[in-house]
Amino acid sequence: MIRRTATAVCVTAMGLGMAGCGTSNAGTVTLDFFQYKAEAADWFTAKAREFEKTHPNIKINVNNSSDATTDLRTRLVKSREPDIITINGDINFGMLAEAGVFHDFTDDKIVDELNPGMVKIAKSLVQTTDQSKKRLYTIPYAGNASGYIINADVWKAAGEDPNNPPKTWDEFISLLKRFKAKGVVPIEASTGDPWTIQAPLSSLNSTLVPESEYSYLKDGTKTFSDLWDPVSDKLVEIYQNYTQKNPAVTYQQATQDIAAGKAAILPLGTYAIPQIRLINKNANLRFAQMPATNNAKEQQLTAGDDVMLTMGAHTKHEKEAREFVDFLMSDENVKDYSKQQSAFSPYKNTYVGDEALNGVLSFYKAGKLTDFCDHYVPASINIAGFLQTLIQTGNKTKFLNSMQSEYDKIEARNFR
Amino acid sequence: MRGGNDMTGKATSAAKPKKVSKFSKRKVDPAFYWMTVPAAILVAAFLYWPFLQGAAYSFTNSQGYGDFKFIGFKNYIAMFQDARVGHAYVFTIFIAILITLGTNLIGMFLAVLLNSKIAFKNGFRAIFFIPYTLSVLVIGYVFKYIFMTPLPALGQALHIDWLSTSMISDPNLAWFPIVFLSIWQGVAYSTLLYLAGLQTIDNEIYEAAAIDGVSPWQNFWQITFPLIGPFVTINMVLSLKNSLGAFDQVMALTKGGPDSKTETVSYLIFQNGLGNGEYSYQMANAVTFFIVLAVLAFVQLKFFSGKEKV
Amino acid sequence: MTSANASIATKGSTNTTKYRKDRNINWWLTAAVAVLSLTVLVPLYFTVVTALKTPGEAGTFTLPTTWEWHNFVDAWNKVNYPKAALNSAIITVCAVVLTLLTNTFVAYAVARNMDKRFFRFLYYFFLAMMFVPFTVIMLPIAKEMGSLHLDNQLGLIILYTILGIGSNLFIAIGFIRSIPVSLEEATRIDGASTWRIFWTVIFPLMGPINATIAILTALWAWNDFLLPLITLTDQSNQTIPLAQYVFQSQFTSNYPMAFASYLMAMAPVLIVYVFAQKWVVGGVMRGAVK
Repeated sequence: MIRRTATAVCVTAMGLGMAGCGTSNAGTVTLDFFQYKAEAADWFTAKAREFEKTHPNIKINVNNSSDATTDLRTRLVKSREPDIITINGDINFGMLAEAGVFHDFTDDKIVDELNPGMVKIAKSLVQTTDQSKKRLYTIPYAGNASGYIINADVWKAAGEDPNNPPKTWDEFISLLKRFKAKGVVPIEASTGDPWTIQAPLSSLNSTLVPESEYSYLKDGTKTFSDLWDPVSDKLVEIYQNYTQKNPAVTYQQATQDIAAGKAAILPLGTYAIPQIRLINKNANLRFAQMPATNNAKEQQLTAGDDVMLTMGAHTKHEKEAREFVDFLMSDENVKDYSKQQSAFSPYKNTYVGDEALNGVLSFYKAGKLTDFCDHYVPASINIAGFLQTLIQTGNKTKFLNSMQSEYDKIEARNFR
Repeated sequence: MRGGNDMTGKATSAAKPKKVSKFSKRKVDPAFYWMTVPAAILVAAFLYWPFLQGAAYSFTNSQGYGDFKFIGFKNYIAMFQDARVGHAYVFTIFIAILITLGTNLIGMFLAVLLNSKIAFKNGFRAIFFIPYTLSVLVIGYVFKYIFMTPLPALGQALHIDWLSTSMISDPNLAWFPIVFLSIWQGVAYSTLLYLAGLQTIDNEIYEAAAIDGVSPWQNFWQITFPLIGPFVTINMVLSLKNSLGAFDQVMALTKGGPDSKTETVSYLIFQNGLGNGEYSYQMANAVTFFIVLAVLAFVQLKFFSGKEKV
Repeated sequence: MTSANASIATKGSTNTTKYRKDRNINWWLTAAVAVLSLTVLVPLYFTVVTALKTPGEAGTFTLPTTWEWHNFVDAWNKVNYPKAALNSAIITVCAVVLTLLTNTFVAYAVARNMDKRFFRFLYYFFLAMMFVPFTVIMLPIAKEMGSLHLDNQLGLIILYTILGIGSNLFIAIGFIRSIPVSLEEATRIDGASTWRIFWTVIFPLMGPINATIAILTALWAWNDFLLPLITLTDQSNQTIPLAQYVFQSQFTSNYPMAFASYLMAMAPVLIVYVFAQKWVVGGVMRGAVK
């Protein structure tokens, strides 16, 4: 009967489908690799295949996630902790690390070879007020920086020297004015993807607000009005005077525009460089720190651990997972990643993956690095949204009050 | 109603006629129990039990994994003071009303058109149903691009100010793409539903009315509308329920932006509950949402069944 | 309502034959409907046209100057379309089959026993399912599927089958009640069990409403995005809509490739629809009459 055939077909199909999700046959170990970075998806997948060739008993299931914060949490809820993980160094990592999800690398011998600045950032991200609990739960894999990207050709055509970017805030503003006077779009905004406004926020705040200040925020002795007032003024000034006619384009459109030479500056981080190069291989780019005050010597570079490599705390295949981790951490793989993604490598001898990054290498070498300010703010606060309203209306008080009231509300219901 | 012989124990005055029980006492073939009870158990296991679990979590500080403590109503109290949650409810109800009205009015209108004397009826009917066959998310991505690039370009060319920048980034207009997409897809189903209803109406009624010289307008309100009453009820209840749960459209078009202006309740629960670690807090939100939905459905059914003329 | 139900099939055809003979076509109305149908056709046209352009050209309603067919190949490879399509197909087909084999007799049992308190309770028990918002049960269901090791295609199929009971019951019950009991009683006299009666008498008679259930379930399973997002763990199990969501961030600014991907996501349903359109539309309309 039709009914019976249909059932038979279905059962066979399901059986076939499920065969794919089996675990190990005799001898073969299957590792679950959770990879967060969309731009590096192809690279990591290729590396996994390369590793499999030299390790025939290990199979790697690469899961390139598009929304790591949600996906990883959903995984944990399902008790499906991955074996190997790449994750962004932000507050979500800190929350998960505090919950004991990741392997503890603090006493691992590899730590001695890593850039101390990046290790420090990884440790301070752990969301706990107890300093002894700020351990190293990942291996920093790639560093990034936030500042601005220069289209060197556009600069040269306007008579500016791309190798000599402004060192103070006043110089920066004069530069923007000069571009505007010459009819060149000074800054390519992309408020269609509001998270991009957080980039200049972080770029400026690293110099304006030291990391230690945020503990005063947590214990209530200082407010956002104390800390973020200067940066609000600066953001409003930039976005209301020096952007293109339709600032509400997407991040992707903005990278297209700067690649096509339609603007002088893209106020984002080093992560945008590979995107631009994808569109225009021969783009002539530089990267610079965004000065926030008029004291050239006190400028800090906003830098973060863009990609961190770690293992699940409860992985059943620690030995094999470690082999893959070591493979990824090999000198040539690290250098290859840095080149592909225009990143800073994590070893003591910092290698820059893109010549455009040489502009800020001195900050890395001198350790003048500060983490992104939004890593100290709870993730459920809609910073991007508030910033969007700030730059559209110029209403600084509203912005600072919104940030403060949301922060207070969340702290109040942090019943942990 | 079958089995009229049996009486329940209800005492009624002797003068009234024999009161028949609403429920019969006949024996039921065990097979019927086998047909339904396992299903009911599965539904309980995969729907009602998770629902109760979710509700239970709302009284804790759980992140969805790891250890947690019972904290009573603290999440609910915090939630009622949270303007962001309040805004989400207001916005959700606002678009739900627009979508329900739009879908039903346009659907009804199209159904009447498709039922009238036009050519290529089946062809047009087929075309109008296409939106329903598409995945909300995928067609949402298409519309997102349309609203962000060609439409503003058109607006700039025609010198229409409010159309010149992307509606999606405009805090005052961002609701429009969401409502537009929902209606665009919802109309498809609505139209078919009303068309089916219209086709149940015997043509002879219209012919009789035509003899009396009735205008099209009267035709519609005196004859058509009352006869498709039940269709209207069902359609409105389901439309409202579906549009209150708007999620895929928000995910594809605005992701709740700009500045949380287009966050629907479902989206907020998903984004902050799952993504940003506020799990138990958003569960309190979810439970409240369920209560709101249940109350609205109940009210609607009571209101409309009073107006039905079956 | 019963007579209306029984005559639905004939009513429809009577109307069209009547109008075909009636030759009195209102061309103004036809034109109006044609214009309205543009609201459906223009976005589809835009999708096709954008998928065939170069990234630089994308964004307008004009025809492409060069026909970049390779966009489809690129998208095919990037999204691993064959695997996603296979996943979607397996899940949809199995969900439809399983639903038809189970939800139907649930509806039958409830329909035939509405006079019993227990079954009246079951009716509301199942109907209430439609009002529980998915967001409430999202995470607990994920947890449950995880611990049962059902965070895969099998789990999804089971979920679609079970979670559909409420609405399928709603759709089918009116239809079943219009089937005369006398047919069953005749077979029962011959000594058939209730199960036998269902499969040999009722199920075949439910043909039309089964088609409706099948279509609605198929559209739901094929196009759904949220359930797979929560339930599936391994990316190799992705369905087509989920793949679109996952790769959205990886298309960067290559809109034509993204649109080629969207088009391929919409294609299977559209193609089936083109061939089976009368059947699909008829099925949905039948389900509307309760």
